[in-house]
Amino acid sequence: MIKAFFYIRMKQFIRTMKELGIVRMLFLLILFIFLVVAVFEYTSDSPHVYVTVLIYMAGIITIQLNRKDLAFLETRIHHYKRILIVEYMVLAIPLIAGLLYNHYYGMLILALVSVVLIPNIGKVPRVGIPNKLFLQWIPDDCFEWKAGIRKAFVWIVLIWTIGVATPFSLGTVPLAIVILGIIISGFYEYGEPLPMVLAFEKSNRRFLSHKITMHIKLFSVLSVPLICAFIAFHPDKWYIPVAAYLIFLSLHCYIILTKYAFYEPNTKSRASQTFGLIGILGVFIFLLLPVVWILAIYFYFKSKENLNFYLNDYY
Amino acid sequence: MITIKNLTVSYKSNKRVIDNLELLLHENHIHGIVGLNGAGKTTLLNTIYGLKKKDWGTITWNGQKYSKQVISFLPTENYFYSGITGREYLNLFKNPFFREDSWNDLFLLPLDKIIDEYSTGMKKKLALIGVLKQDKPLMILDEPFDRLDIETGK
Repeated sequence: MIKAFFYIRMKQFIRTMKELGIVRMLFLLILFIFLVVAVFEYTSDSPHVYVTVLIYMAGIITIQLNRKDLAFLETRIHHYKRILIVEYMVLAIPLIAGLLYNHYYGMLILALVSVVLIPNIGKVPRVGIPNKLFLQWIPDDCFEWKAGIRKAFVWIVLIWTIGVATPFSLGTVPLAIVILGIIISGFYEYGEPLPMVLAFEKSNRRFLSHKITMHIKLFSVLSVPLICAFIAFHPDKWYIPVAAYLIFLSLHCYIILTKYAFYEPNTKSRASQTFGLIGILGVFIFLLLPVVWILAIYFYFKSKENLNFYLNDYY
Repeated sequence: MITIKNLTVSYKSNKRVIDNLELLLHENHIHGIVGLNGAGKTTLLNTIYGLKKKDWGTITWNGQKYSKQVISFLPTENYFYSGITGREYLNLFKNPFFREDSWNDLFLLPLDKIIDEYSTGMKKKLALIGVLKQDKPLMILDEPFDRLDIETGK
């Protein structure tokens, strides 16, 4: 059964690569090399190595929490956790290699133990949020936010509270904006059903501008208190949280445009996920940021063209 | 009245699904389309709505070209965005005169619950309320009673 499962995984991988096409595949390969180089670079000195391991493990935990196949694996395969460990081990190869190369054996053991333990993390129960308290402030148009906040409510509240409560520390507020930015970028990965696009009764251009404007407003409501708290304690370093906020704002706009550039009703487009990942990597590998901004312009026109098929009757 | 003249629709594989169809759909009437599986019923509805391009032929409403703005459409399969409530879904459709709760007396849906918790039949009912709320002159319903219990179907 385990052998059959890995065979299916291999087939899935080949199918995904075929769907991406040769150009995107090459782009992804270059990006992967970039990522490996960045991991090797960041694991070479003492303060960065801890952050790198932390972010890498947070990434794998996010995958574990968002997997849709856990129930299937649990019922079909006896030792399904072994499969998860192997998969996560494969994902962690660049980190493991980086830590080995740079002789951080303590961190290596910590990373390996984490990879073995992560498959034991179960689904986080969805917290019942009092509608009148939080969600009523979010317009119904922003259903991505409503659904996203329901799914990640605990994390968002926890990180935001830590950020607001500890602005005296130089790192917490920018880090809180970065983590919140990454969580929020996941709100836009699923393509909504067609009636939900048509319900806006707007042209392609107005639809996109409405989506982006609403996002800017909501992300600003979340980030501005954090930025203000930071500036109150470090007025001379005001540009740090502002830069983090602006980078994520541009990244989110890029992700929204990517989603609608490849939009098909009721689907999670692999191409949009891949380009979304490139955007998130841009936050950590600054060289990629201009590429993300250029792609955002390209995707604006592509999403207008794609949406025109559905919204051509609206003005 | 919807007038369909010489409508021909085919798929990429050159498989002609609708061939030279002539049809009149009268105003204030309910028309049902019956046929074998794969006969092209859904293709016809998708073409009338504008989601499928026609090879040739004309479709007019009262002798004129029409747009999606005058039609509400219920697809065969009803998908919903995960993580929102039934009420939040209905609120997307702007119609200040529509009383959701009055309609819901008929359907008995838990509108304040997350849609993911709905059964398949409940999702169909929610999609139907969404279509009714749009209150457009033309309604295209593809298998509207599929998966509904007998009482609701009536």
